[in-house]
Amino acid sequence: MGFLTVLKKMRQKEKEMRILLLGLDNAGKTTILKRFNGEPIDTISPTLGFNIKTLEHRGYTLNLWDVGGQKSLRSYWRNYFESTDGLVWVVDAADRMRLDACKEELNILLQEERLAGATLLVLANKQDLPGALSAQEIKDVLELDKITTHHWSVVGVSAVTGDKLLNAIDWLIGDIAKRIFTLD
Amino acid sequence: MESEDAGVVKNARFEQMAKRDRERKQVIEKNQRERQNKSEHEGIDYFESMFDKKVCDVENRLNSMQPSDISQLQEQFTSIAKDLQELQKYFTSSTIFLNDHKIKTCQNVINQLLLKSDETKSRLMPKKKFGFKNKSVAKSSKADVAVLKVDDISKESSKKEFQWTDSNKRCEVLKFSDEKVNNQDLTFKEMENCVIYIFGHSGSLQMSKLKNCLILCGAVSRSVFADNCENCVFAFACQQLRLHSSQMCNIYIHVTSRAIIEDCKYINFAPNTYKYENYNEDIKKSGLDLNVNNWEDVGDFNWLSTDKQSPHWNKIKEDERITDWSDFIENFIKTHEICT
Repeated sequence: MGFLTVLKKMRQKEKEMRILLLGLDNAGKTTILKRFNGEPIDTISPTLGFNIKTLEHRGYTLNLWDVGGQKSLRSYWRNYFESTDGLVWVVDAADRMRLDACKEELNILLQEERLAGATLLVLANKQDLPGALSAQEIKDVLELDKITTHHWSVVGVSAVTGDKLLNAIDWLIGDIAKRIFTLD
Repeated sequence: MESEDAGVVKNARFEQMAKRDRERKQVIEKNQRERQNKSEHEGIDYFESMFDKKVCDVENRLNSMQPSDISQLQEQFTSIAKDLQELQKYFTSSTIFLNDHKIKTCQNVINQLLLKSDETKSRLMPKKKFGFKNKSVAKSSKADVAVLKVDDISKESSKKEFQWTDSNKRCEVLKFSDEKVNNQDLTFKEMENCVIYIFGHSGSLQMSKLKNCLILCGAVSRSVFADNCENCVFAFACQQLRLHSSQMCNIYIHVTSRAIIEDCKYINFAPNTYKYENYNEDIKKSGLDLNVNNWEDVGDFNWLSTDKQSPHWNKIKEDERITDWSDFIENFIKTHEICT
């Protein structure tokens, strides 16, 4: 106990990452969170408010914040921006009706000063559905190539089957780690 | 010599002490002044007048906005958004000395203003409608400039275009079944006075801008999403329902997760009583549980209080629910002057 513990605690704190999961309602944010945490996903209902999960992954402590995406909740997103290391933008790739709204909301986020340093991971979710757009198509529709302010990547995933989800999160963590923990 | 030295030291000490004393007094005075200032600025009255002034200012500016040049409007809206953000900040930092009621009312005022700003924005600067068509046109014209290979361009234009299952219909009876429905995503838009039958187990169902319609649907494996519907009657089984910006709708629902509504008024819910020949079979194929129906558990995103029922939706009383659907459908067709 004593000095060593304090040092250890500080060291642990350094390895912490704050990751924000955002996206329109019905995109699958909560499902991704629960799937990643290994919880059952069959009882999920629309999020009224937010969920927080803290988990250890590859030696890092991840604080995952999943905030509800309903229109009336979007104005509260800004309350969660502070000191975010990674932003996960979840897209329902099968919801062609609202891709325009999706693009608009993402652009608003990217202009946000408090998210300026964050790495952006776009998840083209619901790849298990026959009508889903591919990651490439989502990239074109959201015009991700125009983004120069953030490190970004787009991955087609399925929260239901868990396909490619881990790879995507690993990329995010790797990118954040490169930026923040260069001394390691 | 020694006594002289001692005298100098003594004097220096005195001076030091006197200086210390002066400094101490100054600090006390300064603190006192600061405290006075602070309490003036932290007064509830002061906050109220400042808050009201800022709210009035933003409101006036919103009211006086006229349609004009887009870039000019954009500028005005950004400045308003900035002001609102500042207002929110000021309010948040003042919550320490405000009581609960005041906090709640002020937050409401800010939310109202945000809403109003959004409304004005969408009124003066309407959003572009979504369409893949425009997109691919823009893309290919860009490609021309960039002198891409010809087959690149053809690849762009062959990109899957979004098509509604059906749209822009008036006074019609429409039926969908079998491979058109099973495991597919169904989308309907801008229908008026229509009856839509959907037999089978679809993947998801999306509806937008339906007016005076009757939608009779079997099982939907995942979600039903509807917005801007008016005066409609729905019947379906699904995993979850999201209803946005709709009013005066009656919904006969079997839902295994839950239904949520947002920006809706006069919505009535009842357990699904509509059945057809292969209904139970379709439910089984869709993977829904016939024994779980959370039709009463409606979440209203505009009504977060748990101890009071939301004024935006109601349960349909048992004796007012539709039991004889064929009779109801016949009547519906007659009253809405639909030709069969």
